[in-house]
Amino acid sequence: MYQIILFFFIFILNACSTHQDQNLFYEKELFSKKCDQDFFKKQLQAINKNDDIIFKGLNTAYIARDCKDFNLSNTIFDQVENSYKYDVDLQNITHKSVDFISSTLINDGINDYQGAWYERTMVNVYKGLNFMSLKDFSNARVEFNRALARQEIAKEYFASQIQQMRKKAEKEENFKQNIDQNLKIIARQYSNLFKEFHAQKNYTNAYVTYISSVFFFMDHDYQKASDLFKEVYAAYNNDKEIQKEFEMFDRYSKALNPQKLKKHIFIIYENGLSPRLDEFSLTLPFIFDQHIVTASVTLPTLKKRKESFAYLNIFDGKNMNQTVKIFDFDEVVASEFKEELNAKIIKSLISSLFKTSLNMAVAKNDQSGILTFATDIFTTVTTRSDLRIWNFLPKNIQILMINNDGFIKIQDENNNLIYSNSLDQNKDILILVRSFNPLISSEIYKIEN
Amino acid sequence: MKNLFLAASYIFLVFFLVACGSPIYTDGYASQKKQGDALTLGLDREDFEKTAQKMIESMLKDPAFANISQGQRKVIAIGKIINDTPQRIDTNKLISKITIALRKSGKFILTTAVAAGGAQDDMSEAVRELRNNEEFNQNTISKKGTLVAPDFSLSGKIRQDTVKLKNGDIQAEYFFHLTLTDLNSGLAYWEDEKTIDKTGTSKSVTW
Repeated sequence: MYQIILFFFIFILNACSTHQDQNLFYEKELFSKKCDQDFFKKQLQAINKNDDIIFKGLNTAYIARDCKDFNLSNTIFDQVENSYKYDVDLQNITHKSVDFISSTLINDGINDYQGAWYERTMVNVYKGLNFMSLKDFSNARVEFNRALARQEIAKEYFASQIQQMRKKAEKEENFKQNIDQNLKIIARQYSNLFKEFHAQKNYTNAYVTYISSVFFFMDHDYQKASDLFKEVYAAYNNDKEIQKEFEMFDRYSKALNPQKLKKHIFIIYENGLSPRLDEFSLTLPFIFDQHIVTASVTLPTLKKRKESFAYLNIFDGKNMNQTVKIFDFDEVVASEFKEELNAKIIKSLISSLFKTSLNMAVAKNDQSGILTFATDIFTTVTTRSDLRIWNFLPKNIQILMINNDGFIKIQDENNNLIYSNSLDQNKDILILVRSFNPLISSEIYKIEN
Repeated sequence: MKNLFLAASYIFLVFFLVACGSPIYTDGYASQKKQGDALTLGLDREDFEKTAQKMIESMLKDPAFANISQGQRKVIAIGKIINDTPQRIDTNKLISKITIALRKSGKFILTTAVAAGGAQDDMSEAVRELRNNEEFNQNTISKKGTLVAPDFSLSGKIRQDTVKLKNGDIQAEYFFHLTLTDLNSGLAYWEDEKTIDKTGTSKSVTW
């Protein structure tokens, strides 16, 4: 009996976790730049034991990439991809139902993290960049093809998801009262958030398309690079930098001998950190047996984080240029968050409905008051939001393309030196600068072909 | 309690999914004529073996090569074979079967001394570096001008498209395109494209 109580107690304690402590743990490890082998060993052990593979894997693989251990990073990202396929997509109905019921009746934190669509595409982007750093362009091509394929799947996914949830909710009158009315109340809480984020209308993460086209260009597949770049141009055709790069991509795709044309340097600056998750609580009215009762609902919300350097100054030996902010990752995160929100709110309302009706049923029949006390504690500790998210993606991405004249100097907005080097003028070069904040040294990824 | 029942029903509805079967080969057209069971929606050994066989038949039947006699065997070098799919595949699976069959036909012979990305076997080059090495009998070392340059280069690309079908399934379409280029003239003496179509669940990615 005690074992059952102990198991239940541990289960509940686990459920009430928002996992924010884990977010902070990984953040501390990344920012420390220690590249501690013991950290990787322990994380790999957990991942190999099937312990929250996606969440642990995304964070650990990213830290390995930041440590320039590209092979380790890709090994872990591979495990994350496998988990997306076998533990999420192809999970059997029974398992899926158990997960859904447990997360609805308790909270999302009880199950393994399943991740967001933009995270899936970024897994393949970083794997592709890792392979490029390893000079393995064949495997990098596979990864960028995967990123583009995932992008297409995500577009289809969002087209129908919300409509399905709404149709089901609208079928029943009580649901209409308990869910629809409360949805409106909650939506008002989020309206300011989305005013701040200006969530995008479509769900194409244009950075994925941009960096894929840069890869195909560097792999001398100028036709494919140009075709892909047209998609980026269609979305950002008012931007001078995109116009300039589009014209160059187009020119190379039409050239008789493009490999003999001038070589270029692509500078990509991944700036700051994308939004983190936080939670807030609301007390809402529910109708039970023609009585109105109030219950607490906890929901996640997005919190913007600061950028690092506002821009980078790029000196090619003759001219100084600034990187141009094109891709706003805050908006990519907010768009998907917004689309998933109705489903999350409905799930949270159902959870509150269940817990409140359980409390009421127990209170009616419990003379001693002990069970009532227990169900109240259950409700209090489990009404939490799951705050797991891949915390290390950039806030925005800035780009600049210049002719490769054999030299580059990169400085921050205050002209502090970040990187300076002579370059091989016979190669196309990608220099990716990653800066989390101005106090942490930037990582430079120089890739040439 | 009515609300509890409704909540349970709702949860059940959310996860009421239609079970999907194993992937199958189809003709790739709207008729979706079944052409047997497939192991996976990705590319497997059977796909490479079948495609290699069809490509060899196509090449050997081509009028450009039909009249090559045993004494006039043409030398082929392996050019760039691009895997432009999201599948992590070894293109050698396709090429090795083709080169083995071409050599067996008596019309072609493969050079391993020249290939895109470097020689398949760099020993041809390595033994020549032993010239003037007193430890080796210089009469047994290959003479200058003995390596044979290729007549043709075999290059190609494997592509993949994924098409969503009306029933919610997906059709994975694989295109194997190979070209044999005459290195003297730069003309493509032979080229062919073979397609493999597989239909299966859209619940996950094809790789």
